[in-house]
Amino acid sequence: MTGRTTGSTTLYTADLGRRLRWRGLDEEEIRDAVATVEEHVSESGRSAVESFGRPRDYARTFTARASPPRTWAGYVVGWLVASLVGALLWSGLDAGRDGTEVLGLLDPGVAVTIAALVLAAWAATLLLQLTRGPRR
Amino acid sequence: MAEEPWPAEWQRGLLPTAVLGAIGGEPMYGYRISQRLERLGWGTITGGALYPVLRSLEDAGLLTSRWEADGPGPARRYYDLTERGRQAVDRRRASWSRFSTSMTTLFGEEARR
Repeated sequence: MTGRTTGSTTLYTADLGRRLRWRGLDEEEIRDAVATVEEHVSESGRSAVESFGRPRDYARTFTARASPPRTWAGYVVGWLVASLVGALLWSGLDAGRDGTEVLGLLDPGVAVTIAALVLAAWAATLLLQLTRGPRR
Repeated sequence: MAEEPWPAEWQRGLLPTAVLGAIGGEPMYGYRISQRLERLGWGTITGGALYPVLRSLEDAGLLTSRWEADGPGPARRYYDLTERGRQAVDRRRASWSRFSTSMTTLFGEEARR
């Protein structure tokens, strides 16, 4: 029996994809896992939950096969930049309280604004990376 | 009257061997493998039980897989034995005969007591 992917399967695979990304699987492995669920559900006529259990439980059967995600360098650089900007934010707030400049160069208000903007952008990017659905 | 299902630990322990045996001589997709096992008395093999086994056999180099779009539905992933997989099936077939004889002997002795 074959059929089209239903809405509940789409919700299931979106959840599964997010959980597999959290587990460090790369996009190709996630696409394979999602396509396998779609194939089996279509063939068996049973729901994804009946066939595979909850996405959380099925995701636990996976381990990343090869290297960590290919974007690992991006994560490292991102965390490094976030740490530096966090230090800039802290210094900006400190300098603002003391009425001095950050490192003798930068107005505290400017330092805090730049740091807050960069931190917000980094957090949004990180959140998007970790929660987006599987790529087609 | 329906037969009593096999003990769960047999199913868990022997599923990888059964999957290798089920694939045997021709490439098969996951659901077809589960149907074959079901017909042979294994009960319902869920996707959650089957695909982790297929992945571990593939990681061990005993299976290879490829996607094929051969109908209106989603593409199917076909699994086939590698040369190592065929050798593993041969070894397990030989061991199974000894194992089966051993268990039959044990149960036979138990029944006679």
